[in-house]
Amino acid sequence: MPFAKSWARLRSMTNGRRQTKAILKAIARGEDRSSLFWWMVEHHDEILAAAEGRRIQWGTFCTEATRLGLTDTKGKPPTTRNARETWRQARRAVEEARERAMAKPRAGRPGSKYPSWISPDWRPQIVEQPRPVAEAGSRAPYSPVVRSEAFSGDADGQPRSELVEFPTVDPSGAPLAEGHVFYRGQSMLRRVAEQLARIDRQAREMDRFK
Amino acid sequence: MDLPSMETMMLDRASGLTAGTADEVRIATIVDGRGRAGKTTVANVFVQFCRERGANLRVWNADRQNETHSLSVFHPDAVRPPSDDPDDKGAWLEESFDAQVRERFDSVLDLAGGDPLVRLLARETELVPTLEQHRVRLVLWQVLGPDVADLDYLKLSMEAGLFAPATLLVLNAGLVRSKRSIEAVFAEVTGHKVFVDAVAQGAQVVWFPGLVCMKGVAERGLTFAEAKRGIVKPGQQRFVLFDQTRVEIFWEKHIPAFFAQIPADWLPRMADRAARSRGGIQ
Repeated sequence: MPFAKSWARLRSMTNGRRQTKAILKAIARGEDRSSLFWWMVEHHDEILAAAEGRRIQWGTFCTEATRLGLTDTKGKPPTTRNARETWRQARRAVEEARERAMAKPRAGRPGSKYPSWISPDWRPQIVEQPRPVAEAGSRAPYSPVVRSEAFSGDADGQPRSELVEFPTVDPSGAPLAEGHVFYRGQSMLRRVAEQLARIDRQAREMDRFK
Repeated sequence: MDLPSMETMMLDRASGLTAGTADEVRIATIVDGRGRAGKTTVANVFVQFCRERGANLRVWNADRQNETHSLSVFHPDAVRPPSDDPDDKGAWLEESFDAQVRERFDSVLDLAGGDPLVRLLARETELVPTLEQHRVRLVLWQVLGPDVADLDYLKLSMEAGLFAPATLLVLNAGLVRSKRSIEAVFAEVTGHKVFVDAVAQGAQVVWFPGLVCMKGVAERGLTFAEAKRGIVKPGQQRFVLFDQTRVEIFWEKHIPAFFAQIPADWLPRMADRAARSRGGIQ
C-alpha cells in the first residue's frame, strides 16, 4: 500500500530526525565547534554505514566537504588532519550523548504523551535475560554495560560520587576483552575509562562556570 | 638511649623543620613540561601549599631561563645549580639527591622547559628504583597545556624511565582564556595516544585550576596568602576587590580541592594531612 510505505518511510525519517535532534540537543553547543563537526554529528550513522568498517578516505572526504561548504573553526576548508580529528570528536560527542540518553528513563512515565500513531496502551516488549549463577573460578556473567562508581570533585572541592555506564561491547555488538570497556570511540581498560570520564566531567563542570 | 626504638628527630638545616624518621619515605617532586605550560606557577603553588602545612620542603630551581617569575623570586631559599653548563647541573642534581637521601627532607625541582637534566640522569642511573631503594619516591608532575606538542615531553619522560607509577598529569586549565570551553580546548591532548597510554600505565590526571589574576599576583611578588589578605607592597597598587576575592576562592577552595585528588603518598609529609582538603592552616 503506497500510503503505508511512504508513511513508514516518513516515520523512520522522523524518528531518525527526532533521535538526531535529541542527540544534538544533548551535545553542548560550544563556540569552538565547526560546521564540519555538526555535519558529522548529524550524519554520524550514515558516515559509519558508508565506511562499512573500512578507513575513511579523508582526501576524497575533504573534497566533498569543501563542495558542501563545510569548514573548520576558522572558516577554512578542512584539511585531512582536521577532518580526521573532527570525526574523532564527533564520534565521541555522539557516543556520550547516547550514553546520557540511555541513562534517562524512557517513555512510559505517568503523564508522558505518545505520538498520535502509537496507541497509548502500547508498551515495549521486555525480554528478561537469564542470569546464570557464576560458578567458582568461572567468568562473571556477560553484561553489555558495566557500571562504575566514579568520583569527581566539584568547584567547591566536595567529592561527588556518581555511577557511570560504560559499554562492554563495541559498536558492532562484539564483546570486548575482559576488563575492557568502550569509551571515546575505542576499547580501553575500565580504570582508564573511569579516569578519562572523570576528567571529562570535571572539564564540563568547569565550563559551566565560565 | 636505644635510638632505633625511638623516633629520631633531625633538624633540617635549611628550614629548621623536623625531618621525621629515617625510615619514612621522602618525596622528590619533579615539575616538568614544555616552556609556557605553567610549570613555575604550578611549582610555586606546590611550595606555598605544602609549606603552609608544615612540610619540610627544599626548593631546587634549575630554571635559569626564567628570572622574572622564577621560583627564587617567591622562595629566596631556593637552591640553584652553579651554572647552566650541563655537567655542572648534572653534578649539582646528583649532590642534591644525595643530600636528600642522607638528610631526609622532601624536595621539589623546577626544570626549565625541555631541560633534559633529569631524563639524562634517569637513563644513566635508573633514577627511580635507585631512589626508591633509599626510600625517596620520585614523583613526576608533567604539566600539560592544550597543545599536542606538550605531550612530547611526557613521551620523552616515559622513554627515559622517569615514568614511574608516581606520575601526575597536570592539565593546566589556567591556560584557557576567556569563555573558551576547557573540554574542547584540551580534547586533542586528552584524547591523544600518548596521554591515554600514560593513564593506562598508572598516571593520575588532575586539572590545575585557573586564576584570572595570576599574573597580577606573580608580578607583585605576593604569596597567595598575602594576595588574599590584600597586602600591598611598597610602590605597588592594591588589588581590586574582586581580584582579591578571586585569590581567596582559588587559595581556600580550588587549590585544596586540587591537592585532595592527589594520592597522599605522592605528597610531602605535612603537619596535618586532613588540612590538605580543607583551606585551613594547621
